[in-house]
Amino acid sequence: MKLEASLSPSDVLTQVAGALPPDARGNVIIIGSLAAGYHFFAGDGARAIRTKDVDCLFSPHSKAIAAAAAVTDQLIRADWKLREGLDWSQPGKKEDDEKDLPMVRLRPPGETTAPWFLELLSAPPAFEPSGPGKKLRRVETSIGHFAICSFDFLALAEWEPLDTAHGVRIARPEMMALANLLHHPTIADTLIADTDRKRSNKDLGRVLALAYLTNQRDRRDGTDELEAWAGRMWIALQAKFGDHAPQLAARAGAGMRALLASRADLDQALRIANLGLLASMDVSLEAFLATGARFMAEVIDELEQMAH
Amino acid sequence: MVGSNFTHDGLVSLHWSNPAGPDVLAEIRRTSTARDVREALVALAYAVSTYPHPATGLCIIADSRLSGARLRAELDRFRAIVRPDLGAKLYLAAAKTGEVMYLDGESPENSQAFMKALFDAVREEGAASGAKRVTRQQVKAALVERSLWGLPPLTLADLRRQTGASYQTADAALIELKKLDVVSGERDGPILLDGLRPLALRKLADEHAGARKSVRFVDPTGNARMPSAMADRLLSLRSKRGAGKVAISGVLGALRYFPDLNITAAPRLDLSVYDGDQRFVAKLDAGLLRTDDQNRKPALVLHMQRDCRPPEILEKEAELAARLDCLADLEDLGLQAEAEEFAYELYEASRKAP
Repeated sequence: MKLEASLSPSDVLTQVAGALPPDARGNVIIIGSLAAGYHFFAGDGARAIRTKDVDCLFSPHSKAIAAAAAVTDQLIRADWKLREGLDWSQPGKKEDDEKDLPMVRLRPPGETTAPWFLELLSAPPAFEPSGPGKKLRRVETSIGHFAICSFDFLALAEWEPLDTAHGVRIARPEMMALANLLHHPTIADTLIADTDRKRSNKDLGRVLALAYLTNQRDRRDGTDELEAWAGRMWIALQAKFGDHAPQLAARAGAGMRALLASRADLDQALRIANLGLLASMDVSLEAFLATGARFMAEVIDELEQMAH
Repeated sequence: MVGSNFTHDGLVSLHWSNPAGPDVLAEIRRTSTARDVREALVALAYAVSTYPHPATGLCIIADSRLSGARLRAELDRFRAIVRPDLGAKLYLAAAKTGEVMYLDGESPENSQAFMKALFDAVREEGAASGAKRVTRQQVKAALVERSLWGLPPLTLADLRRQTGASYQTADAALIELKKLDVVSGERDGPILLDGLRPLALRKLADEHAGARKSVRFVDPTGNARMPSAMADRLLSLRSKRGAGKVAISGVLGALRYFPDLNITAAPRLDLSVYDGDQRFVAKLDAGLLRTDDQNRKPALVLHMQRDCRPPEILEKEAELAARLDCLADLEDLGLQAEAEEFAYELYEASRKAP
């Protein structure tokens, strides 16, 4: 198992935002662990996250390709490097199928072994329930052809993202949580490449980690953010998925129920969370389970009631 | 998979939806008389025979003085008088509660999950039935609470009617209060409590605390709501009928009675539960975990007991626990100076009452 580097969310976001062309920043929403880390730990220099990828979502969908091409060119000019490895180190060609094109994954300059890379993603097009959840689109850059992918439920990250001091926005924790929940209605056997970790366990464990950190912040600041999640999730589902919202809300808790019912999967989810977003907090299984129970009662049950 | 107090007829204490076989209906009784055992078996037989799916019935006799042999004989006798196919579906076992709970007798289902649910139900039944029995202590508490509210005194007959206590229990309670030198009045007239000085009140509160069952909940995440926030949430649940007969006691209750008390911030939420139903806790905070470990600091403590508040005040102050409950909680928390001050304020308030 490779241990991912400990990173300061503020430092990384500062570097990413600074490297982007100013006119592209408004089209960028940072998602994933950097967004979560920045949201929860930006004011705390002692807190770090462990990640190897910084996910950069271009929004809206209609401008994603142009913005991604402009950003890639700008970063290449600024000496950002394609991620090492056979699959990623060379751009594709015009005649390559989209499915064979490499993703845009760039390492920052000046560091021979930079611990993280930037990955570009696109906001999804209008939702079609019968279509594939993952879609690829070609990006033509000055150095060759790439693909950027979009996932249906990443549309939620576009819902009222939070501003940062750096000109780029970050996705709301509850929207990333909902996207993960909808993406994993079951505990699938799909493993993360080169590991024995299930993708579902990582992503659903992330949901619990986000709930844990929100809960912790609520107690510290006297707020009730976690209680507000269900209401915002319901509004976002309606805004992004229209008539499909009730059905999506009704199934949002299925994967989490499965995770909480499987001790082995929950153990793995906790291990991954403790190595990632909850790094250095060493959350116990008992606390993770309690967070799960709280999340189900205060978020999922409420969301299901709103959709009923 | 478990529905407490489930059924189409409300006939049994618990049902177990069994994915691998017939469902299990369980009837729990806490008794030492053979007549009650027979009655429970009849109720169970009726429930099993009218249940819409294949089912077996398990009759649990909790903490009984009846021997295992006697219970087996009762089951054999019962099986002999009902249809053989129905009799074969009925089981009877004794449950002993305590730190370690165990069953003596056959069960139609032995999975770990079932046994855990069953033992939880037996414990809950114990707490609920404990709240139903009228004891001397409860009669004393009702009298004391009435006096603390400054309400007109009751006669022994009125007291029995109001509390449901037997003559012997009510009379014994009165004798104990007389020994404490807090009662005056004629035996057949209104019972006047005029000696409820702070020291006597604290002694009564100690007895009150000792007679109730407390259930402790911890927050394993360390992120529990503040007690006052949890209390607000409880009030919101009450307004949506999401909580039954539950009232705020402890430090928060005491402060509601006397806002100027020199008292510390509440270290936990104390609630008086008067109907034995703890299901509201999952709505109050699903992250709380029940514990028997006295070394863990609880975020919430439920005090399962009979309601000693006068009926006249329930319409006005239903969300606020009895004054005696609050005093008992302060003693339980080890807040002795605060308990002393609260007892003094109670005494002064009752003296000034019309």
